[in-house]
Amino acid sequence: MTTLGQHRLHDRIATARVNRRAFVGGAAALTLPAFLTRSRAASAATNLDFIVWSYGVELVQDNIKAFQAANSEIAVTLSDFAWNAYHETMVNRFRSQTPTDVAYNGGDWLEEFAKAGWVVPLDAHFDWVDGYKDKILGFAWQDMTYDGKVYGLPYYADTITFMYDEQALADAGIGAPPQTWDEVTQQALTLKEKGMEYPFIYELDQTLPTITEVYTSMVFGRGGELIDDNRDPLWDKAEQPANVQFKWLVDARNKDKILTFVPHETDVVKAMNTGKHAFSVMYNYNLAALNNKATSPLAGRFKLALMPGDTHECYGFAKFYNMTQMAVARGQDVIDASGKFIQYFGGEVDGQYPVAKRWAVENGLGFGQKPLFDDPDVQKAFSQWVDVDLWRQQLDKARARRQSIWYGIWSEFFRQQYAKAMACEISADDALSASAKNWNELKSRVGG
Amino acid sequence: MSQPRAVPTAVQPAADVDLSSRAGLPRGQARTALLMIAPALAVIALFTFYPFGQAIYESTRIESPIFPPEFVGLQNYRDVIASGYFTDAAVTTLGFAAVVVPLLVLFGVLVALLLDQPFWGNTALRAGMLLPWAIPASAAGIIWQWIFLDSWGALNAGLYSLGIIHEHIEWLTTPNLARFAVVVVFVWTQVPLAALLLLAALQAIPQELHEAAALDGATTFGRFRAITLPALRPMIVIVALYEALMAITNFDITYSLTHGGPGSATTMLTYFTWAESFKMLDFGRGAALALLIAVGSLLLIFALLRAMPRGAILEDAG
Repeated sequence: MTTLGQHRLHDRIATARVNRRAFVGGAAALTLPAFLTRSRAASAATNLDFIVWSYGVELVQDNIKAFQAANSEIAVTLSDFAWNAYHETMVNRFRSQTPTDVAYNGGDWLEEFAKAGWVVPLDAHFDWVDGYKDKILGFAWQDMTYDGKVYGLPYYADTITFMYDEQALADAGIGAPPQTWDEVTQQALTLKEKGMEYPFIYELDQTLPTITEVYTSMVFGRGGELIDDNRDPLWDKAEQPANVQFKWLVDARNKDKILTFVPHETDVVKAMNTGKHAFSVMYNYNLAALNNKATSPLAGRFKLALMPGDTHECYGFAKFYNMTQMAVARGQDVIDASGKFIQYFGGEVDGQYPVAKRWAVENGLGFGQKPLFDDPDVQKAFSQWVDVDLWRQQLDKARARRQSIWYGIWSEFFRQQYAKAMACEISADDALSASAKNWNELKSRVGG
Repeated sequence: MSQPRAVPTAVQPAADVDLSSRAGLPRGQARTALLMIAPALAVIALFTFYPFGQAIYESTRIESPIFPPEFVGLQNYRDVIASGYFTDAAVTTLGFAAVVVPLLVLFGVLVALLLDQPFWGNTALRAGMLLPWAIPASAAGIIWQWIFLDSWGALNAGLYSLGIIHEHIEWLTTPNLARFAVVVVFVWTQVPLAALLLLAALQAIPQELHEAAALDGATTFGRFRAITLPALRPMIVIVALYEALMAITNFDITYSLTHGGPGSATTMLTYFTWAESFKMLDFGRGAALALLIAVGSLLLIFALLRAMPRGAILEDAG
């Protein structure tokens, strides 16, 4: 038995169904021609699945639009994923054969992706690759090379550098930035005495490869290395810069209490802008963010200093466009389209480097393409936020790290140990020796 | 005055139908029944049995794109249990569950009791309180990260501006405070569902019982102890079991809030199933750990059920 109310409800539902059917039918009738047209267009074009981590996605889309306008036979589908899950996402995509033709990659993962056969060397497919060797910075070229083969052209190439708040130092009566790590400690203690609780702040998130890279850059500043020519670890040997620097970090946190950390570089930028911190080591492009008058209240106070240490070297790297094995398996059309795409995005087009230049001018990203140093637009943009001559000095001292297939996996383990030592769960020596043991086990398993 | 309630009726299985006997069904009906459940069985087989079987298979092998493939028997299980992280992460996981489950039951009961009272805005509050539960856990983690962040988090800023603190508190970079933060966020996201389930059970208690007890001179607390709590017991058991499972498999909140840190202070076992497989490219060990967690969860549920008073859930069934 139904009530009047239930009848009315039923009628309303029935009406809604008719309306919904009519709506869906009408919508289908309206969109079908457009869909068919698009399908035909798509079938005429070669589609590329392009995967990036989520940074400047609107700019990426804009660049894709420009590329497609110049190459109407190629359609590009963009997908972006969070940086802190990018490696795992790509492992999942490659393992499940999710369509991926061109993807961002970095030196951290190149070796394992190449060993797995997921990405392919560009110079095995394109004869124009060698022509870029003299036009790309040495550390960037090295970072894109594995086993003598070149796997990409730079999306950007940058350094991890030492930054400081010039005003904060001046207010504390400190005339010049530190030249050594001992000076960093001394200056930080001076700042602490004058009320700055944690003068040194940096990004420390054990899930991100960044923290190993930052540590590496500090070790390079001391003229050290993480591994020797035989790919044996150096950080567990007491006199090695890698050992000394690790202990500097743990002491700075737990003994001198001059160092604090936050989970992401954007948090460091915000924290530095509170005026409560004076030193950091980060990807160099963060200096552009720190000195961006539109977003940073203390813009203009932040300067670059050469990486403290005996040699002032620093870690240089490239993030690059990589072609995948899946693209190769799809055939020559896709290989050719991928080549055009990579060359447009990372290489030279009509004597210009349109995409790398945009990243440099609009976002302050470093670049691996040497000709851009002479570009007046780039020079003008960089001079807004960094002492260009000093930056060039630091670039000349930048170098890539030595490679090994298991580096990315080891880095995951090391970061756990690193974070444990920083949290006083284990000693610095225990963290370093456990990391060396893990390295040696991985080396043995891989057969390195 | 409370809202009127329906008196619950227990559904009893008919005594004269032998549901357990296949012989009770004529052959034609049995075939039809099998055909009817076949699609459901196929879906279960595809999405449950197959992945489970695949996980068992992978757990006995070195499955990695960079290590040579090899059958290793139970070695992956031994490696996982002997690994540096297993004991720490297992203790962290069980400790986390041991803290949050009682808290969730306690807050769930208190919130349910509050929402059972008539007051202006009650309905809106019931709907609104589901919001933390409806927010994706990873988003909740990020929202709370902004609150707990050390040097510019909202909590430190608030405490500082009120003059309660003079130096910022390192919520997420001090092990015990980070554990506290994870507990706060987990409870915040889970309390709404626990409260809603307990509220439903609360509203099924016949009002006459309370009225009779009141006439007999029972105090409010006495009625709660003698009527409300026993009536809620089956739902409390269900909530406790559900929340224990949620706590053991908690991944997204810690991943987005603390990333398991500082150090390994908030790293739970589930993180390592992810890390072993997709960070360390050792799918065999990842599968072995996932199976260990699944078996451990089942054992915990059985242990909890055995520890419950007899008939705590199905007190009317027998």
